[in-house]
Amino acid sequence: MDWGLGSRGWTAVDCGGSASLCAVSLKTAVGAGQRPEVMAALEQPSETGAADTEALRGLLALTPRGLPQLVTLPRAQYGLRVMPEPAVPPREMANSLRWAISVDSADPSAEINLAWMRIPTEEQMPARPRHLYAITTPTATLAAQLAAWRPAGLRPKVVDIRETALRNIAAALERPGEALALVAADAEGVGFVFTHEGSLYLDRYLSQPVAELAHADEAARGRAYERIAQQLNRSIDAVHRSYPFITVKRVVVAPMPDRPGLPKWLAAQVPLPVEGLDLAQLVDMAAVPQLADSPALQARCLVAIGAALRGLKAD
Amino acid sequence: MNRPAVTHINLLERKTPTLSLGAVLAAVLALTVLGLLVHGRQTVSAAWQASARNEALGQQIKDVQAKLTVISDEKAKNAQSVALRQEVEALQPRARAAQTLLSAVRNAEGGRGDDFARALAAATAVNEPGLWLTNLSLSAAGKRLELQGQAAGGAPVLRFARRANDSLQSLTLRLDSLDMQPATVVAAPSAGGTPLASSGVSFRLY
Repeated sequence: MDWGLGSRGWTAVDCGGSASLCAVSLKTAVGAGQRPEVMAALEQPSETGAADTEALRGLLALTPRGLPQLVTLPRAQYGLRVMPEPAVPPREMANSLRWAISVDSADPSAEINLAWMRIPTEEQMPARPRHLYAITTPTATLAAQLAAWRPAGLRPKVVDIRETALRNIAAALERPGEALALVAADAEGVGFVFTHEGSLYLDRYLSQPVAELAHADEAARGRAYERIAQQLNRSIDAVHRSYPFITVKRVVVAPMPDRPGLPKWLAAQVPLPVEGLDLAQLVDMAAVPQLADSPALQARCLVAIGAALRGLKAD
Repeated sequence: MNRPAVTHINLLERKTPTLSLGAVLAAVLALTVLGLLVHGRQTVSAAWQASARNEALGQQIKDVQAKLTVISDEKAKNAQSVALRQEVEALQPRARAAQTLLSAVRNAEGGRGDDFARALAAATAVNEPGLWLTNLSLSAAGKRLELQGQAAGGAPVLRFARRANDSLQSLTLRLDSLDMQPATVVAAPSAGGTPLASSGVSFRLY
């Protein structure tokens, strides 16, 4: 629980998904009917990513002071799994999950930081066993990163993951009663999140480095996109089979200039309306015109923007 | 239908929730109000105790006043008793004198009868303030009368002697001689007053 945190907004730093660091400052304390305001959106090239103290310091120096900091981890630094929800009192949930995770772990004694979020089905499918998302990261790794960030002035109040950041964006795009699929890409691959009433029901990630596509011919690129489209269709089917009360009505594709033609390919392959993400519908970018004008920066900052939306109250 | 609350995760696993400024201010305000309530309660309790103490002291004062009243009444009664006793004591000499006179009369009555009775009636018919008789004797076959007594001074004795002679004239008796000696005479007190012991005279008329 982030009680009292981020009531005005966040400065979110994304340390993964690209050979660069990204920071977004978002003001979420806005009037009714107004969009959150992007106060800063910055990208800093870095070969070593989160370990680049100088790059981090330079990045943070350009963000507004006073907002709490948030970090989204690289995908390689955390684990995300769907598990049956233990039938235990809430105060015993953490220990129960830790025990269940340790049984499947290669190193059961390894200390982990744990978070979880339920997949809501109890109202629509009360007879179905409940499931939840469990997110883990090695404690030692996270502690080392926190120590490395501190000299750069990065003292995060929250450590989040990419899937929940994308969930926040999809949830903000949802229309009443519908389920939504959001497709977003980074340098290492393409990810899907399926949301309904603001909650995450399914996530998929397809590893497909941009570097491979850059040297691929048209046929190879087509095969790569075909694989993405197939995976998306299977995911849509999986959602409909697993959660019959959910109907995915739209697929929203985030900006992905590194993968030209993918939105059109998906629109042709997926039996649902496919729309491009208009970030301006979601946030006010008037103060940061370079973000409004750059699909590449939007693509890079998408996770950070989504993570910073955690301070936004649901309508 | 309202959208269910969305769960936001935090891998920092913060053990204690971070408090916002508003929450801190609210906590401070709550503590202040709590302190005021406790202080107010203590103040009210102290005031109540002081009030109870005052009431107890007031009751004690009333009790003491009542005891003082009783003591004053008893003192007044005692004073009256003392005054009465002193008055009785003051009257004792006169009572003894009267007793002596009565004894003398009885003795005399044993021998003589009418003569003595007439002499006694004539002598005691004279009422002189500040003088009282202590003895009366009749001798020489009823021809000689002797009176003894006490008086506050010589003047009452002289007035008594003159008036007694006037009264005894019809009995052919006369008191021609007077002996007076200084003596201590206890005067009867005024009402509620203290009897006074003063100088007087004892006398003998014959």
